[in-house]
Amino acid sequence: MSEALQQQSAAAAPILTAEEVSKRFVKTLDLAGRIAQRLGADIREETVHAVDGVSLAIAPGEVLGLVGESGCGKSTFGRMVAGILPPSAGSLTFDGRPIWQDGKPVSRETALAVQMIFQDPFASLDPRMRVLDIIGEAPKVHGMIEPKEMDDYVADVMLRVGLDADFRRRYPHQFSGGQRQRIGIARALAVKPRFLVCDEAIAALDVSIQAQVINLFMDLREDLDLTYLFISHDLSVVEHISDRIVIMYLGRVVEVAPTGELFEQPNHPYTQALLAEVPRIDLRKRAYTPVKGEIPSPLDPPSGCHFHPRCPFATERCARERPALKEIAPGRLSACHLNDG
Amino acid sequence: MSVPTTGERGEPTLSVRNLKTHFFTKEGVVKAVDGISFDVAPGEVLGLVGESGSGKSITGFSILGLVDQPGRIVDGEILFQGRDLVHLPEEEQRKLRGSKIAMIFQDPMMTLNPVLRVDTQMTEAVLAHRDVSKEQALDIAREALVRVGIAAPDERLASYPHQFSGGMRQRVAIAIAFLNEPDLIIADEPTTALDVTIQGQILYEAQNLCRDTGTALIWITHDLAVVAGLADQISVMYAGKIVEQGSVDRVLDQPAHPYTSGLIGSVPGRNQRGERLFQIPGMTPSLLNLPDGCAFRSRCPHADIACEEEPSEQRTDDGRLVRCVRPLAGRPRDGEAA
Repeated sequence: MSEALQQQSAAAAPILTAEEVSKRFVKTLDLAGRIAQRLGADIREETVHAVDGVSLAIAPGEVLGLVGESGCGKSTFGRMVAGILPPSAGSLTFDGRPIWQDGKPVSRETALAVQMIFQDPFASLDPRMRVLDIIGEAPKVHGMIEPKEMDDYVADVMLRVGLDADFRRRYPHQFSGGQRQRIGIARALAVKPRFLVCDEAIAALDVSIQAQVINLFMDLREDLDLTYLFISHDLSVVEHISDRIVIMYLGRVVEVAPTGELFEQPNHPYTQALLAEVPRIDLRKRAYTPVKGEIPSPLDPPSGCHFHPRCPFATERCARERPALKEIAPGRLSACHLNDG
Repeated sequence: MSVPTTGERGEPTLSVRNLKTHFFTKEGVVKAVDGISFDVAPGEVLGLVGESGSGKSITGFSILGLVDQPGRIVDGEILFQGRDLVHLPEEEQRKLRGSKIAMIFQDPMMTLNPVLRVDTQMTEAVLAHRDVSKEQALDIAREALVRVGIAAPDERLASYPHQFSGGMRQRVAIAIAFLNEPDLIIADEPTTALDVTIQGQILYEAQNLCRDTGTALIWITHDLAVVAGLADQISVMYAGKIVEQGSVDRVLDQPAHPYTSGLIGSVPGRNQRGERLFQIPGMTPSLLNLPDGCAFRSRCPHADIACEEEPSEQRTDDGRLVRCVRPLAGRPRDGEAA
């Protein structure tokens, strides 16, 4: 299955494409800062390149795992795809149509087709709304259902995600964490999306509940022909669910590979380090050999390859020149100077 | 000091016997910890595993005497180097905390005071328990920072906690825990909030420190994979009770309790990509109205009529303890029911 999809993503029309997408956050100076600057103080506006020239394509029906540590820009990228945050540069297209134009979402149709599922099932649901309204509001507002159909429609959606439809008049606080996450999923599914952005969607759940929600995601994919952008820091979860994996570090994509190949033969030194650190149930009393150093601040990223200060193989060129994301094998990309031989 | 091999364990640093910590709420009595027993030997790492509400954190708080109203230790003994902590006067307990027993929390900002410089906080912890000069205390603090892998300790000592990254803060918290060379450290989900590469660094330091100093470590977590890489012994908690306890290899390779087996099955592992994960049906029951008999029976695929009676703790022939009428592995040893 994954090989087929791999080829598809290269050949057939992708459902989602990102071209050189960037997002900058600028902290503008306040009045005092501007005056100090005028007077010659060394104060400048601070810019964070949260996402720095990311290009990728996702095939219909594919699950693309997006992995990285805090501050790598994975959530920001997800939000731009989901139509929540406009990109600063570059273009995002869904089904051949742009998602953004002049900082505004282009069409309502696209906005509905791409839905997002959030990490925290406690913060992402309005505590004062009944489940019926949380799930039913969007389809009603968008004219997808008649108001009188709402009750049955919501019951249907709840059933699909494994919730008891008798609970639809309850409030979010009456549900456990796992059930709340299902409500969040039901809310996303209610507008009949074709693409789901799952941002750490299972990170806040207990282990036994995580398994239930992962299974639900896999069932929904099959039943509803969904495509996923699955964002997570948890490599074992991403390995389980994804067809292809994208690894990000400080705003840039460092490696793209089909899941199996990535785990068997990681190319980029950062990917290698990341895979080595993952605790696994079958590794006992192991000696940890940690990567040196901290994740650098995105406010002041290292020159050249962002990973070079922590990389055991770094050369002088790595500090100077930004490595391009190049094909190293069919369907595999990596941004590392070492591949140049 | 070397790591004692499991099996020939010496005098335990900590021995918890039939500990019960209950919370007396308006809605009823919550038996957060309900009769648990375990030992930790010097230099040994015990992984205390469970999901939210299983009582694993309350166990840690009980050992340190930090259980607040309406909670109370109602029964049992906590023997630390032979002394029962439950009946120790508050003043004596305070002397032990931070010197002989230390705790590391999930959020390092629970340990660190945001308005004090790190050197102030660290020397304070030394001076509270040892008769040394301020300069000596500062040296001890600097040494502790170096030991947990912090570069430029002098610069770090003069900083405030907010100037540190999350991983660095947790390292400082760990350094403070190790300051007075305690004999027991209780770590409550210390790496859960950290990134993978930083988690690896912290696990590495914890492992080294225990090996080098012979400190006993209780690592409380929900993450079986972390325990697999770090611990010698494992205790699995469910609804206030330890349902299975034994060496990490035994328990993870051949779980005897259906809950342990379910937990292991729900962790995505190697070579099963795209397959459905094993899932434990239902959710953790409310501690206010637990079912009679085995608390896990409503979620257990093997439950039958025998499970309506409270299962006793059994020692199996491969040396572990299981609280189940129908254990999946290991034959019960006759007459050894505890």
